Amino acid sequence: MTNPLPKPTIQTRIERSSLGTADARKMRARTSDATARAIVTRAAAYPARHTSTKSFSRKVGG
Amino acid sequence: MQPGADEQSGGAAGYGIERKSARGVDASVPTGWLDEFTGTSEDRELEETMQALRRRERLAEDADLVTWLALNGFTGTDYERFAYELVRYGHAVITAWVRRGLIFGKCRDRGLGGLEEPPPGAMTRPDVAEELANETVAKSLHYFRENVLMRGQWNPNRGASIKSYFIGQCLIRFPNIYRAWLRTEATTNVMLVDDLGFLDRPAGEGAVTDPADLAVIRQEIDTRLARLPERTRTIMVLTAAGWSQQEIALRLGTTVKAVERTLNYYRPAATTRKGIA
Repeated sequence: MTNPLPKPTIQTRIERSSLGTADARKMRARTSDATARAIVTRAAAYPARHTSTKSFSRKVGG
Repeated sequence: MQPGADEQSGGAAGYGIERKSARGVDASVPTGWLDEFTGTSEDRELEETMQALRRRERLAEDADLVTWLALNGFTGTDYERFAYELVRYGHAVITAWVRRGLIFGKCRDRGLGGLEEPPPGAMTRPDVAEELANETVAKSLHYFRENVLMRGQWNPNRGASIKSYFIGQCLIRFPNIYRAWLRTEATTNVMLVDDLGFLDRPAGEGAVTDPADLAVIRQEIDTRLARLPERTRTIMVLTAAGWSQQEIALRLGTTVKAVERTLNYYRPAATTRKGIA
């Protein structure tokens, strides 16, 4: 029995995506790790909007 | 291709013309053929076709990435890794556009114009570009996840890559963030001009308290750094008076990072040229 192909890691998927083009890689290198982490943390701190299925279905008359 | 073909030179009848990604010359194709082909309309068409194929390939990989992240509801370590890389890209692009003033044109092109002119020279200040880019990208990431990714709004068949779509989201968010910053900036400038007395009330332990010393510090900085923006001079006066970066940030309504960057940007030049720190 042959071994199945290993699943690509998230980093591999990112590098294959549009974020992995030469230009995008060059741009990504301009932002420091600390800045990027701080922004991700800041984004996560914004309050989530109420988008439950119930309220949505009420809006569309479901 | 047959083994060893790279070492062969000259004609190799039966070998298909193979274009390499870097447009390198394939040893199996006589150079004369390629010379005749280069620059022709067929050559340009082939190049365009290959670029289109590469774009489609990237879009397919974008779709694969988004599908993978959706399996975990756009949460967890994989999503964080993706968000981190997206932010690095978005932050670099937005910072560059803010510094060059290009962002106003980009917003206008998308029907998001009507933005007031920034104060002269404000966009080239490192703390301003940093502050605007940080807020824009953070807010965009939040809404990108909630409104675009989680609702399946991004569609690769429409031709925009995931990174371009994110930049579009940043352009949508920028105008309101800029307007809020402009209001704060106007308030701060009024405060700096009209309320210089606050410099004589330094905060924190070990700060300079003697009004005479403070006057000397302020005069020294005003004279030697006259060409710097008012806000930068204020940061330097307060630093010299013993305020911490956190206290300065609080006072000026900005971030500690922005204060730190301003000092790092201006202090070496001031030290070298004028002999003061």
